Amino acid sequence: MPLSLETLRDHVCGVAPTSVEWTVRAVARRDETIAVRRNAVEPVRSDEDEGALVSVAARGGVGFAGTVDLSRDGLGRAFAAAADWACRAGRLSLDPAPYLPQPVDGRYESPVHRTWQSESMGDKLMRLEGMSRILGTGEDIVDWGVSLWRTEIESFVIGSRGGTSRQRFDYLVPMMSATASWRGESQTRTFGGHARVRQGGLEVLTEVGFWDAAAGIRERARELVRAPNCPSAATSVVLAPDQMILQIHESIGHPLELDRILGDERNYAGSSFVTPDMFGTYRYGSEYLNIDFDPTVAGELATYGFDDDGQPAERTAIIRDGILLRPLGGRRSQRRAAMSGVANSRAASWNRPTIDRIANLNLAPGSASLDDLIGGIESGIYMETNRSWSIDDARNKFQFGCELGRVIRDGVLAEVVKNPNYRGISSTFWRSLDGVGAGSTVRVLGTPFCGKGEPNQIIRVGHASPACRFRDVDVFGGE
Amino acid sequence: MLRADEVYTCQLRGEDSTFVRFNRGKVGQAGEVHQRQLDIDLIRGRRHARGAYNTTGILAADLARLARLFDRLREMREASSQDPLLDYNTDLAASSEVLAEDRLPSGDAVLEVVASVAQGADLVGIYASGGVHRGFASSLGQRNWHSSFNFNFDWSVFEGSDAAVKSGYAGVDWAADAVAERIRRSREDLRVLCQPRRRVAPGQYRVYLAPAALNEVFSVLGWDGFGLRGWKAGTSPLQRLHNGENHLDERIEISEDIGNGAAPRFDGSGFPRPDIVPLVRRGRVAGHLVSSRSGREFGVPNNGANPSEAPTSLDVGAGEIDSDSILDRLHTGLLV
Repeated sequence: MPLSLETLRDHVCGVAPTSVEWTVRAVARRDETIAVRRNAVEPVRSDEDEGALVSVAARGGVGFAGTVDLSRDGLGRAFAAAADWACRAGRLSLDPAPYLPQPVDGRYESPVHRTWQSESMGDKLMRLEGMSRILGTGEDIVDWGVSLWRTEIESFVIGSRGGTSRQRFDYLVPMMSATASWRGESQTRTFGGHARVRQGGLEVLTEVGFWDAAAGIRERARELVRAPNCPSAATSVVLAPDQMILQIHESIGHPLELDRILGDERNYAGSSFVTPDMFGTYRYGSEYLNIDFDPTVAGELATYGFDDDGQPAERTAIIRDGILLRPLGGRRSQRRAAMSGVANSRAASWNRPTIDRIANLNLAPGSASLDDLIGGIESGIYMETNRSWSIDDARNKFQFGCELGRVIRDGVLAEVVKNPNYRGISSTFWRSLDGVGAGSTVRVLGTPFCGKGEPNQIIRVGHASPACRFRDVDVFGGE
Repeated sequence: MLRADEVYTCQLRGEDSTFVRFNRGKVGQAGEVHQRQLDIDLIRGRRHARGAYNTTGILAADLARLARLFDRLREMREASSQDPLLDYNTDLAASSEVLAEDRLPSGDAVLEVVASVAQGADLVGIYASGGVHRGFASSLGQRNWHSSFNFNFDWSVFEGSDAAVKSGYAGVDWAADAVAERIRRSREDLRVLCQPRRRVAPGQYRVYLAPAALNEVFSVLGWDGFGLRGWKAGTSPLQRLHNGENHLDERIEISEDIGNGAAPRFDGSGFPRPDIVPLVRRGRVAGHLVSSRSGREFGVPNNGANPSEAPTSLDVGAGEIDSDSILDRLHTGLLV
């Protein structure tokens, strides 16, 4: 980050008002993207984004102002604007006692074993070009691509009471896909969509098997386009981790966001079927369902020491033995609702205020191997890799689709099927959970594209999950 | 800074935006954001690299950053291969300038309307306004600029947990009376939803989709639905339409229409965007959104579409049912 913490603090303290509470969240981000599509190298990119959001609590309200000018003058103007907005908001404030959480001191840094720079751009591109040639082999492969997206973020949250949280993140998103066409139809197979995203350096690519995956991706696409459609039935289903993450995300994560429960998102992202009186007693799922907010898992996408309000983050139980315990809400929402929550006030970048976000939300492993889960099914479907999602405003009724399915027959995996989809209602679906894979089936995954908020904010979230089995699920294919 | 054998193209994206979020008719979050970003493509022959950074308005600091970016882009470019799909405009006649006047209301004026008209209402939504600026320049001499100042107030009023009316008011000239009237009307319309409900069983129905409902359909279709690349890749949700294997009702006409001036008439590579790109005529495909890269890849002229070839201003042609006769024409069915 060109502007050091010391310089930033000096500029801020030189212009910040002394009679009110304030925070400054400064973020410096750098992205590099390299990609090859249909054997042509896409333009390589290197992008920087740096700025700060000043928040002021004054006269009964809280206001914010975002600026890219981090000089004393620039920050001074931002403080003045934020204070003006605080006064305006104070005249019509939703929160009768508006509150600006103050950051605590501390640091966090992503674990990196092989830095992005340890391999030259030329070498990385050469490897991607080699993978592209493998992906695109065959006349029935009509579209293919491979890419790496690397992000480096440094953020500071400084508060009027003197606290400073300081964090540094390194993320890597590997992606690849192949689309096969046959008899007028096409099917795409990917490397888990964008779910293999992690914190870390180039070691992540070896850990997730990226470099050796191209041939398998291509062959699966060709197999899928020739496969029969998934049959329709009310049946047993085993979901692989890279579909479980979507299930957890849409039907547990989002409905438990506390600001959503308080009605803030109803005009855009929606509401929730969950109400405050449910916490502590509501049976969300079967006794096999254990969900944790866990910002401590090494390498998971939303592992952090502090949320973007500078509040310390710790592992917290959200659902235990199927009973709903706690919402996903940061300090401001916790005060509004008079409820306990977690440190999940987050913003997409410096130019947006924080709202309650899913961070790392994980399903605890059980004791069954994948063979055990499948072996317990006479007739059913196994599904991998989310492809589509649709869920109602209140996060209850849903319909999800996957890239690849396999019929389960007499306890073993049988033929591949295409267009596997299923539908359900969140509360009843989670109560039909009757088998949870052991640690050996767990995958640490996530998505860099969770959307919410007005204006919209796209943020990174992590989900670690084992494979899971559900009974009596409404499954259907593409016909 | 530019070497003799280099060409640059660059885009400037700037905003001075105000955001006010409402819940239960009161202010949840309020503030403003100021941002300028320069996005540069540094080209030598058929090799190039792209990068972006925020400009602060402090010239010395911005030039120092630009120099560092140039160094980094040169290093990345030399490690990269030649790009057969690189294309940028070389016709300087495409230079243009569109300026606008800032007639936006103050934050106080907006809050005054909401405070008076939304008293006691469960109004939730967002007021967003400000200046949006786009520019393009190249070392060949092309210059384009587009500024607009507009507002968008988008809200829902709720009764209970799931009865809601969504409405909005957007434009360049704020009229307090007009927005007050719309809020009042949405509160009145809410009473319809509070009548006793009937359960609608699954089945086939005659349905009227109002523009807001049809907008949801087109939002989904906009993902890969109208671009050339999606069709060629076989991933378009309208694949059979594009292949000519199927067609829509012949009364359907769809265009990308930026003629109202809300969007810039140039793309990120300096190519002009026509006012209208016909996409569907008499129910059949009439054209595609084509980015500069797709144009090179498939050997067709581009029409200034963005890299994702998603529509930015989709227009569905009007038909013959006027608003007063909707219910008569629908007769028995569902109005959504």
